[in-house]
Amino acid sequence: MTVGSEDLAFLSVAELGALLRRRRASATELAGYFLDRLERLGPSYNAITYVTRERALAEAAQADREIRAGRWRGPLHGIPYGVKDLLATKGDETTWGAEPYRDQVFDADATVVTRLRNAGAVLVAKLAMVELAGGMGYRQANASFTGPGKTPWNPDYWSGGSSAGPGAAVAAGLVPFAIGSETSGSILTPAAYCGVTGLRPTYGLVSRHGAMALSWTMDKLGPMARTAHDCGLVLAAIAGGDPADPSSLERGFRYPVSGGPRRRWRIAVPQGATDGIQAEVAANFTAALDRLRTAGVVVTDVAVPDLPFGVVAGIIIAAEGASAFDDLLESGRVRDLTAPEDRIGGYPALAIPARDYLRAMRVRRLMAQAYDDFLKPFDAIATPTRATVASPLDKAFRDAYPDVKGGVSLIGSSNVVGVPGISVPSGFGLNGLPTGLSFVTRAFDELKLVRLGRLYQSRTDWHTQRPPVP
Amino acid sequence: MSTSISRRTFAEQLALAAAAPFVALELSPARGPNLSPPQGAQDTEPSPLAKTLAEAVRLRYGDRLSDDDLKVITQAIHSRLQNVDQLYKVALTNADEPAFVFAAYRGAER
Repeated sequence: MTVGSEDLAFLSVAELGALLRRRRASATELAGYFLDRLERLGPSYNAITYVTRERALAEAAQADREIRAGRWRGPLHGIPYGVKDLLATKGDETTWGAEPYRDQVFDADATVVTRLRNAGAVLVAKLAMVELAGGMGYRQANASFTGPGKTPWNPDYWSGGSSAGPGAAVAAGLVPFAIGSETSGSILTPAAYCGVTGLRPTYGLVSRHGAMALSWTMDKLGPMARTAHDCGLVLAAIAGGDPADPSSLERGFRYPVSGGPRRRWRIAVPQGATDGIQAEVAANFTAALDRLRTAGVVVTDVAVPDLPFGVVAGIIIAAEGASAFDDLLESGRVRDLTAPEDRIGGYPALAIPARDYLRAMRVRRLMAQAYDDFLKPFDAIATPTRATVASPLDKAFRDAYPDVKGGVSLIGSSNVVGVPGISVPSGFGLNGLPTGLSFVTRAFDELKLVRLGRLYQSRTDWHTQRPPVP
Repeated sequence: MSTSISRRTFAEQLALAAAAPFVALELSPARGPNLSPPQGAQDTEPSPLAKTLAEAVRLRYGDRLSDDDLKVITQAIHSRLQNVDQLYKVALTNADEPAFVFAAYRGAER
């Protein structure tokens, strides 16, 4: 394998790291290779806002000097990556995907970017995103000044949101891994729609300092990559307490690279998980469970706590989002957003009484306890990540697959209570579009998610499939 | 693709969104428990309370909002109010605190 080979684009972080360690490629060569791909192919998927060529080559040169000197920083040393454009990077535009912030520049890096630099990773791009991470209620794919994100599997379809660029860029082999954010579905959904692996950590495990705030009590940052193993490597580099983010926790994430002791997994499936969803999504989910049954027990028809997760999530995100974007609403510049619905979507939230917000936050604490009781008997809860494949670019989400009205998604509930989740590719459905399999587990059990993802990926090859990228 | 959608469609979508106004993806299929707005919420006449709250929005931001915008906003507030009752059906006691904690601050000593 040499630099210049197209295969290099689809190698995992672990595989690229092996090339660097064996001196079969340099960090500078890798950076140049992925920078060229970003510039050549990124616009085809509306995946990038800014290519950080100068910074990338400087970081890569430093990595090469250190590697030559025998100073090995770890598995990310010399590996290129991209970040969703809601993370501040010193001196670059940080647009939040939104026209009103198109010229915004910060004078410091986000903590996650600093940690990745300390791990020796090389920042090559700021990646496109749904404007304000979907904070104004977008209802269709064209909700960013960079245009609708396109999945590399079929560019007539959406790459998912709001981490649209990270999903598409990883899938198209433009970056080996990326950092996305999730308030309620923004990592797992594009991971499913783009056929990559996305890991949403427990709330507080990764510092949000330097990230655009949509909801201070629900925003999370996490990795998107080809494999669960790669997500584990990245999470280990970015997790841990940060004095600049009071919600961050000291505990961090240790990732022993070995697969861990053999164990009998106990996996639960919610009642109605495949009722009324797209047939291909259901079939892929059933096949995935069959793969996992040989490694443990699958308990079906478990009942998710009957609590108003959607209402609580809606009020919290709306109220916190309206406050976070107070300047935009007050100035009226919300009118400059791309999606018509986003231009007035923030105003209803201004009429949420404080009493309702506080009530939601009080109910939320009870929900977290009830949800932990629900998760405790199992290693993980499995569901299809989404009930359908990606929606076409030319239709509103609700009009894309009007006959699909069923299924059980844990995306909303698990985000409200702040527990982690992972989505791994599980096959293909309508129009050759990928489907995802999700696992949710108890707070701070990310290691279980990574190991379960690795187990599944050791038994399937969906994560190694490549889209028809030119 | 066209960025324009009909006012009616937009009003329906925004009303539906009131269940989770900023969590757009939860409006697509595969809802979790209790993510759906009440049946027909988007079609019912806004309540007097919804109209009053929307009037507060109009008083403050009316110079930049059209009548159609205000109708959509009123409907969205109405739908949220219909859902918010679910919060008050969960029993809480005086000891049930919100899921955030304030910390007193003391800076570095001189």
